[in-house]
Amino acid sequence: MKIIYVYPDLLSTYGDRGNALVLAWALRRVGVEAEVVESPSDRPVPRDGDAYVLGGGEDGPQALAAERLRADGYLAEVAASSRPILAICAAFQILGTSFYADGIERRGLGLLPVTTAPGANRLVGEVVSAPIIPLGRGYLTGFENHSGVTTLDRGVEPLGRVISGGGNGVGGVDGAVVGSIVASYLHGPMLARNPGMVDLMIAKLGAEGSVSSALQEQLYQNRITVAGR
Amino acid sequence: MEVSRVQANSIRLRAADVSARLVARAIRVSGFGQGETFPGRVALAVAPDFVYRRAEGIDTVLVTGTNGKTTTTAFLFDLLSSADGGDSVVANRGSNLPGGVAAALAAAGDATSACFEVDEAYVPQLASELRAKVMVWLNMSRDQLDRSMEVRKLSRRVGEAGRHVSVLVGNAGDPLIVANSGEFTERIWIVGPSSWRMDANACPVCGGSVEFTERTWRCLGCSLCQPEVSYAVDRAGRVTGPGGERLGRIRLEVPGDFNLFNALAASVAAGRLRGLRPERFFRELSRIEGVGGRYTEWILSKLPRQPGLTTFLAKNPAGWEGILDLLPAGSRLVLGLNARVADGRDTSWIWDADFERLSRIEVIATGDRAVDMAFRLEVAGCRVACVPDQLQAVAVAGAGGAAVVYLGNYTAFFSLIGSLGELGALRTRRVREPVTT
Ligand SMILES: [Zn+2]
Repeated sequence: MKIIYVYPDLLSTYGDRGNALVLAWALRRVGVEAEVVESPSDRPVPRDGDAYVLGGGEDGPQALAAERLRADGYLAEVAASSRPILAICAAFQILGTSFYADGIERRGLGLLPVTTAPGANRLVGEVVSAPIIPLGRGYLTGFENHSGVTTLDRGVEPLGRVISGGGNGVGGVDGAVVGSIVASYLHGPMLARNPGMVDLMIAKLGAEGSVSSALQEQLYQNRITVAGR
Repeated sequence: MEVSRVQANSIRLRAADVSARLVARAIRVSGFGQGETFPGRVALAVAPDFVYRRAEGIDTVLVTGTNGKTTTTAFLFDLLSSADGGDSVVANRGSNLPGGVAAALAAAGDATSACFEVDEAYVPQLASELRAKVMVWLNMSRDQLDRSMEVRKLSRRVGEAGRHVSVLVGNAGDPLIVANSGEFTERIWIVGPSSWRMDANACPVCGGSVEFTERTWRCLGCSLCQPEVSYAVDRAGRVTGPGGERLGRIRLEVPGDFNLFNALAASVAAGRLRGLRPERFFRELSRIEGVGGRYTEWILSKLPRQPGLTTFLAKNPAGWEGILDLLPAGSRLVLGLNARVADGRDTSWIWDADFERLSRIEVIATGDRAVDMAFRLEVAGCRVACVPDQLQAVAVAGAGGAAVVYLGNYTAFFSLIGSLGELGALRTRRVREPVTT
């Protein structure tokens, strides 16, 4: 299988490459051959990916990434074909209908019915949430660092209910789940710290089972314990 | 009126100076801490303009950038001291906030020249207060994103120092530096053999793609490109000058391509300050060793087979990758990771460093966040053991007698160095350090 890590030159500020690496590692653990393909922003997004992973970025690169992804247009086809997309932080905002970068409102890809406005405060720190879809784990944890307030349209399901931290900055929730798209503000990276999320992605790719290692379970437990859960 | 205000000011300055010295002495006598920052904070509390006034008449070089500040400042300290033939140079060492600079100045005696490393966030302020003659700007890359500004904004801020400092010695290979250098009157561009480029793939001016080739770079969307280089150093330490002429060779005690670049930066800056040619300093560079345990070699005399240990400090993915390139074959590797305030609370950055190049090597992960590191290494394909206690990790690694290489981030590194005595650590290389107090 091919995991496409989209635009590492623009969207990779917070170790987001880790999500692609962990997903490939997990697939190999269930016996599926997997490789990570980096897709730079000056070339078309590869058509032959099985899963697409996007990460965080500063304002300038984020705006540029949105422009290029809209011009490319292929992520809409990925979503229409139900192949999984994991979008973290800046990419979450880009997949929505609009967001702000450098104080200017920008058009997103419109794949998620959400809008992002600038918030009053920057949300920085550990986040713990309770997953809304069953993940086989009680919590989701991650580290957030953003100043967006992302409002979900009526009926859009968030990824988790925030227990501590900011998340979307409104409504006490983090992230969004729409079709094959999973979006969140949690980096750390998300898939490294949350074995349940890895299982979810693996299931979306048609593989099965819990694939975490003892070390990953220990990491998951550690971060929950630190958060006082 | 005017006269009495001047007198009052000078009394206040003297009071600040004396207070800072007394505090520094008290701290040294009591044995608490290193006395590096607190006296400076006292001086600044008594006289907020202490740095501005105390820096009067001192020729100063300011060193900034994400990686290499401390080592470059140590190089500069030695080069300036050697050119002076005396001890009239002042420097800070690692304490690069205003308090650290003030503390060094309080202990400056009658120094006539200085080199200070300055945290990127304080560059315009300290550049103006110090009235630095030359600024060395090494590089800009991601570091502690949860507490500092994003790297692009921070680069713009650092560039504002050009309003106060006329000469820039800058890294021509870093688009973030070149794009923000417009305010300096004189720019001396240098390049080294380093390779971290992940933070500058989108043009800082227009957002277009920046195309890198082996020797140069340019933006495909606007006119930003690598400026004409005055001095370049290659992997072998060979230096070429403005017309491409050979200027000789830099040989260093400390390892790493990035340190060849730092050494060139120090030579060019020292030369510019003293009105001498940079190559005058190359010979002196070969005598300089690591600072504060960086690149230091030890023998662990209390362990049964007395293994050797080399200690490296790196704070961010660019720094870690630079050091992973240096690992000697057959050594046992220990990687220490903390996430305290000084390190940045977010450990995500470890996924940006290419640990895959260590695959199939046996590694011990340690530090407060040993488990984060251990899982990163597991995914990279390493054989990994997780030993959170750092001393224990080093002891386990050295138990068989093999040489140990330790690489840690900021607080992990210094807490290990501080406790190495328990393993009977003896330095096998003498380390010279700029003395500030
Ligand atoms: Zn450009």
